[in-house]
Amino acid sequence: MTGMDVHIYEAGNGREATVVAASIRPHLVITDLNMPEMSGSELVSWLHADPCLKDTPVLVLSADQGKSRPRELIGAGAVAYLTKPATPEVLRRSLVAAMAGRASDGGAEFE
Amino acid sequence: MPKEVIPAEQVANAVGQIVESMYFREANYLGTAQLAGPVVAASVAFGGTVNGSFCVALSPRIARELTADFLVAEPDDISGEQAVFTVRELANIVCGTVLAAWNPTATFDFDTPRDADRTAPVESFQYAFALDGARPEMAVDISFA
Repeated sequence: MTGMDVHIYEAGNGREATVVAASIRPHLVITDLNMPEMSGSELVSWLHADPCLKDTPVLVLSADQGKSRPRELIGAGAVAYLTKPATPEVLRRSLVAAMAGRASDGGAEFE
Repeated sequence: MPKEVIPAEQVANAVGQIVESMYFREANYLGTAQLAGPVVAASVAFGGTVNGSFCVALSPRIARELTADFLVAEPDDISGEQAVFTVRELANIVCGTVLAAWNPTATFDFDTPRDADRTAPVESFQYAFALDGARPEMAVDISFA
């Protein structure tokens, strides 16, 4: 994120992320999938169900490289699914694409 | 039922790619070996087509160095907690990458990475790596239920 004009708020798990998201209403959420307390897929569904946060783009960044996983998460409301290890450049491009999709209200690009 | 074995080449390739892309370091595969001295270790259980777990262990020195590389910091500034987090995350990524290479069509569910209690140098690891010189300082064990 170096060089990008962004403020980053961290959460230790999905449950904490719901509290942070409800508090600050972020422009974008980046989440792992396998987390204690609440998983990334549960977080995606939670965000999608909240009227104030349902349009927040969510990037999922996970070590799970299962072929069906991206479809499941994007179907649940994520805008992109990146597998670890993702290079900073891939993460930056996806972040910019997701934000561009939000700005144009036309949906983000999928990876 | 025959015991599952993941070929060493797949583990070595996956670990090599991960270490290079995330930490800009080279991991040289050594085969089965012991890690001398204490280790920082984490494990990830998986289920699905087959069940099992991955354990990744690093020497404390390498754990701090990899964390520093990732955070663009000095190794001396890295806390023990940050180093432990790096090993947990590394176990998570190694597990996902190796399983995807081994069985690309299968779907696996991963548990959250946990700290593992491994006693070195008594135990040997299935897949050991050197990151500096020839001494094993990183290792992976894979067990199937």
